[in-house]
This record gives sequence, structure tokens and C-alpha cells, in this order.
Amino acid sequence: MLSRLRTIKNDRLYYLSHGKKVLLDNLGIVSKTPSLDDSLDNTFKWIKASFEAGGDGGSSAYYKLSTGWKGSYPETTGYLIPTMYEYAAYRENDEWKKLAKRAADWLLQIQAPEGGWQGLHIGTPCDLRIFNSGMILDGLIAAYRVENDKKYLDSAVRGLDWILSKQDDSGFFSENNVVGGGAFDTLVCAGLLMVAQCLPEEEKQAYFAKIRKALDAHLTLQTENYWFKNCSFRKDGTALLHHLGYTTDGFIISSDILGDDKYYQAAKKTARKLLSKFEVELELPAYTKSDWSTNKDLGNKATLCLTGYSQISIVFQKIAKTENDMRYLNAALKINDIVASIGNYKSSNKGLSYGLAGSYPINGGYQRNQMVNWAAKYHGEALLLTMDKCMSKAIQS
Amino acid sequence: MKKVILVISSKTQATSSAFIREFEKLGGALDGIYHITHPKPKSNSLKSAFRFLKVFKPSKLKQLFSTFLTTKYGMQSMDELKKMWDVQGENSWDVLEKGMDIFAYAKNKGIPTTEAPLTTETISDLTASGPVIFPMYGGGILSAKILSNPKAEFMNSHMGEMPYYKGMNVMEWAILEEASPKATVMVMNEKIDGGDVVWEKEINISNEKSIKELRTTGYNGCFQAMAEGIINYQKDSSLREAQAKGSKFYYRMHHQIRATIESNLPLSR
Repeated sequence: MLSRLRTIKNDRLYYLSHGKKVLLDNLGIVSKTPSLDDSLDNTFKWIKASFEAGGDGGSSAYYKLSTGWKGSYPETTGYLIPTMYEYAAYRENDEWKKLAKRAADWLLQIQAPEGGWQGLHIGTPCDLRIFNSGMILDGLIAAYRVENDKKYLDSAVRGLDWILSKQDDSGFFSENNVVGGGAFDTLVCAGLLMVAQCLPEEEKQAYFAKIRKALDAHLTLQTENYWFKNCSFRKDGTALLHHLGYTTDGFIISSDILGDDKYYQAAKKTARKLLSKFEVELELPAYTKSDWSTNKDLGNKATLCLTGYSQISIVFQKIAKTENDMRYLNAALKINDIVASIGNYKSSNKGLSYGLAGSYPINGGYQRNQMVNWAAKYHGEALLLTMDKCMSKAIQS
Repeated sequence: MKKVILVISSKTQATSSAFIREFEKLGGALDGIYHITHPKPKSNSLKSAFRFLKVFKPSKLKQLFSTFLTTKYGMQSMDELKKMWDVQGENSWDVLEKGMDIFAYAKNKGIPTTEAPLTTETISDLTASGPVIFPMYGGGILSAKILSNPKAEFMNSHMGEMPYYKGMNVMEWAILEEASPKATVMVMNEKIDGGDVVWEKEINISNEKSIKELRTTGYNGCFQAMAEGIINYQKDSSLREAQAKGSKFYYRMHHQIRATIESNLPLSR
């Protein structure tokens, strides 16, 4: 009883918007499923609020029920940039292009002399981090391509050099990395490849060789049943769906850039497991054990990881497009429905309105009681992909 | 020749009634009709008397509160959301004409009937005089014990070509992939859609204007395939073949993809 009262006080559940969100989530009640267009626009309303929260050009990491908006988060601001450019193009709205450029400029300002970026959010002291820096490269390359300004590429190359200077002999990135690195670093590899791809041929190939070594090392983390080891920040041997999303997407992007099918096939094997688990159980848990069984992270229940859901939707859509296998698009559409319905929460509180929490229900094990900007980024990206010409041909609204 | 005993789960089952019509049309003769019964659990009168108290269980109260909120504020539960992906109004009981009184039909034709729970004993009794083919609809997965009787072959039909179209909504999936939809008759085993194949028949699609109409055609194709398959299999048991490797499993089709298919109908256009 006392602990419940403490939760009400700490998480400010006496605010109508907070209390209602927690109650509805725990009752398993969501809004009616919005159209993809509405969900996309609403998600970007929340993203805009996250940029306005700090006012420094970066996007606030999250809105926490107990303390409100956090400082801007370099890592996720980085990978929000390409999604904002895509949204700007989709809506033909230059406001988003300007916001994306401002975010990229902010990242240039806060780049460390060594070439990397700090982990965590601004205002929290933290070392330079490999994973976080890798995510930023994606944003800088998007800015370089759209704005046609070499300063973004130069900054990205400095980031690339710093990351590769930390690569160990086995190919992994265990130094200066979150939990000593993990399978999710395949997305760092993808970021590195994006940068290297923009360089002259000889330089590019030299970088590619080093990055291949990293990708091959990370392939060894895939188990015989296509699950991934070291795929969570937790030490309990489970894999987080969000990190499985990073890992598989990292392999797919890398395969595309390198033209090497083995990375794509590795991702597809994991995706096939996720597809059948999702379709049979009609949900994917936040955490899975090494035999793909569900790990319960909230009492006797398993919660959902909304970021992971959208990332898997993206991976499924990429596979659907590559192989013209509509079973993957079918599952992605269902995932989009789930995330869009959960996110269709209107409130006068900008931190909650149309935002997506780390977990569903919000008090689940991953990023408990906070609306995270990376969930919004990936939901936005998943929807933009669905509305891409090729996908939209296969579906009718 | 193997006998044919039709297994029914209800005495007016629409699918079984449609099969009987097709089987008769092709000159097939049923050797029996077996209605699966489900013995009612013994009622505990004391428990029944206090059943009304169930409403005060926390889970029930939570459910009532959720229903109130979803109704009043136009929201939905996660379960309702997932139901959107179910087949809507296109199941056999939605699209087929009402079933006949199957026992009255049997009496009229002099076909022996059996009413008993589905047990190994029942199947042993029904196969006592020799091997039997049991066509059945909607029976679900049979237990290994039931399937272990070497004289019994339980058959079902599936609206997709095996092994390439296993699972749900397979006729729609075949149309989406521009493949010819087929009905397959299989001897059931312990795996979903995993049994040996005895017959295959193309489902002819032409002027269907909706998924509901497509499925009606699909069901009829399955009844015809089952009737043809059993008659031919009675004559030639070498028709039974294990499924080829390389199966593909399909799942419930999202309504937006279904809408795409529907917008392209009729296929003859």
C-alpha cells in the first residue's frame, strides 16, 4: 500500500493525464486505430514537442512521468534526422527540413575533439560512446546528402575514425561502449558504412574491410536458432526486442551497402522466427529467452517494447520489398496498427500527447514510465516506409 | 474397399451437409455417420448456486470497468484491436447455406449412425470390420492416440495447394501472389496442414466480386475435392503421398491487403 502511494507521488499519477495513461495502459485499453496518415502526423507532433522542450536544437530523450522532459539526446537526435528529412519530403513541408538541419548543426557543435559524441543526454556527464556516436553518423550523412554541405561529411568521417580507433582485434567494439558492446553494434557498422560509402574508392574499400571484420564478428553472436546473444543491456541473458531490431536492421543495411547477401540472410533468419512468433501469439514480448520463449518482465506478465515493435515492422517491410513476400508486410501492418492505436493518446500534456512509451503498459520493464523519442522515431519511420510507393501499391486504405 | 464414415460435430453442420451433396452427386456412398458428442461435466449444485458471486472477482470487475470505458469513450481493448485481423463474416458458417438434418438424411438413406465421444474406443469400434476413411470438418488437431489407429484415416480438405499454402486465408494469399488457388485433400496427422496428400483440385475463380464470394467458391471447391478424392482413393490407395518439402505458412490477412484483393475483383475483368 505504502509503495503504491509512493508511486502515485513519485510518478505524479495525481495529474489527470498521467493517471489516465497508466490506468488505460494497465486495463489494456487503447484508442481506436487511426489512419496511417493521422498516426504519422500525430507522431511528428510529439517529436516536435521533444525538440521544443530543450530548445538547443536536439530532441529531448524522453518525457518521464516523475520529472518531465529530459535534456536533448545526441544519439537519438542523430537518427531522427533522416526520418525528419523523409517526413519533410513526404509532406512537402520545409519546416521539418529546417528542424533536421538545426539538429545536425547542433550535433556538430557538441562533437568532442576526439571525434565521438557523449552517451546519455545533455546535462548528464558521460564518456564518449561508440553506439551513440554510430547512430549520429546516420543523421550527419542524411544532412550531407540533403543539404549538400561537406561539413557534415567531415564531421561524420571524424566520428568514423574515432569509432574504428576503438575496434578491438576480434572486430568488436567493447571499449567506450554501452555494456561493453553487443549484437546491436551492427547498426554502428551500418552507420560507418554510410559514411565510408561517400568517400573516394580507395579510402572507401579500406574502411569497408575494417567494417566487414566487425560485421563478421557480430555474426558469431547469432545462435543456432537465430536468436542473438549480447542483445540487451540486462545481464539476465534475455534479448530485448529493441536491440534485436537494431541488430537485424544493421545487418540488412550493411548487406545492402556491401552487396553481401550473408548479412541479409542472417537478419532474415531472425526475422522469420519473429514473424512466426508474432503471428501465432499476436504479440512479441519485450524480452525473449534464448529459446525464443517469452520472458515476463512485469510480475507474471510480459510487456511490449514499442520501439522494438516499430523496428521489427521496418525490418519486415524491407524483407517484404526485397523478396516480394507479402507475409512480412502483412505482419508489419498489424504491428503498425498496434503501435498507432497505443500512440493515439490525446492529452493537453505535450509530453504524453501522441507520444510512445518505452513499454506497454507504460510501467513495463523497459524505460519504465517514460515516453521515449526513439519509439516515436521508429514508428514514424515504419509508417513512412509503409506509405512508400512500393508498399502502398500492395495495400488499400 | 475402404469404408467411408463421415464425422460430424453437429447434426446440422453446413460443411458436412455440403460434402454429402457433392459425394452423392459423384455416386459416392457413405457407410456411416458418426456424430462426436461431448459429455457434459457433472454440475456442482452448490457451486452453481453461488455463480452470481463471480461478478465480484477482481478480473471480472476489471473487465466490466474496461467495457464501460471502451463503450463510453469510443476506445477499444487490445483484444478488440486484434480481432480486426480476423476473417470477418467469411467463415464457413457465414457463407454456406444452412445444413440439412443429417441424421434424418441418414435414416432416410438407411445409413447407420453413431453418437459417441471421440475416443480410441469409439474409433476401434468403428474400424472393427476393416479400414475406414473418416472425412471430417472442423475437428481441429486430433490426438496422437486417435491418430495411431492404423485402420483409421481422418481426412480433411484445405483451401490451398500443399505444401506451398499452409495456414490461414490461403486462397486469398494465392490470388495475391497470382497463383492458381487449389483445394487439397489430406490424411490428417499431428501437424497443422502436415498430412499426406491424396487429392488436389484447382478452384475455378471467375466472376466473384468480393472475398465473401471467393470463399464461397473456395469452400465448394474443397467439398468437390474431398468427394472426388475419397472416391478415387477408395479405388487406388497409392494416391496417398507425403507432402513435398519447402512448405510456406501463411497467417491471417490484414484487412488492408484484403481490400487490395477485393478492389481487383472480379479476376475475369
